[in-house]
Amino acid sequence: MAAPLRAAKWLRLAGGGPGLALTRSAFFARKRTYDQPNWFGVGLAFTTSAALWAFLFKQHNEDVMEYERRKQERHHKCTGCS
Amino acid sequence: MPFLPDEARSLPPPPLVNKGSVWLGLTGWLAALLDNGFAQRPVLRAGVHRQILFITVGWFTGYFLVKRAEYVHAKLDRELLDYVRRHPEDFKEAVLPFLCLVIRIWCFYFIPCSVDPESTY
Repeated sequence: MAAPLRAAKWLRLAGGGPGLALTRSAFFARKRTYDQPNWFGVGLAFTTSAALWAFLFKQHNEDVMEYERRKQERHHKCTGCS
Repeated sequence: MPFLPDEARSLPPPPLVNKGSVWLGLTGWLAALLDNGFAQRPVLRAGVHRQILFITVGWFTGYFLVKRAEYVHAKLDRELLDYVRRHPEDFKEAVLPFLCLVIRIWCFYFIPCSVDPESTY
């Protein structure tokens, strides 16, 4: 188990490619700082929430009106125009 | 397969405050609180914009899921009742189960109750 690992490490170092420090370039972990609010994120979140609520209210009202309209239509069809 | 066919609009829409919306809204809020917890931020006071967004997304999803569920149930009921109507020979007059009768007699004669037993069915 240890011998293949040592061999791999030797191959990596001897290859002359990027040094060890750059082999982890995909995984930068930075410490988040919360002293400044992320105004872009906050604005985006509130805008999206407001848009979703507006769409939901609009959709619900449209559904209610459509249901009432179809009920009236059905009533007229069944009883005839009174 | 549409998510909500046109005939679903003939059904009364669910109220804006319904089981699915409230439950998924709460799960969204919990997800935001968990995110705060994992990121080592103050759990309730931090990221209020995130909490509101997650609650909104949950509420939104819940509303449409409940609408679809009600449509599916209504469709099944319609098909079931249609079948019952088309095959009356398989569904003779239902005889009151004996236990129901016993309970009705018990409630009416032995336990004074304000409910009129005739109005229960």
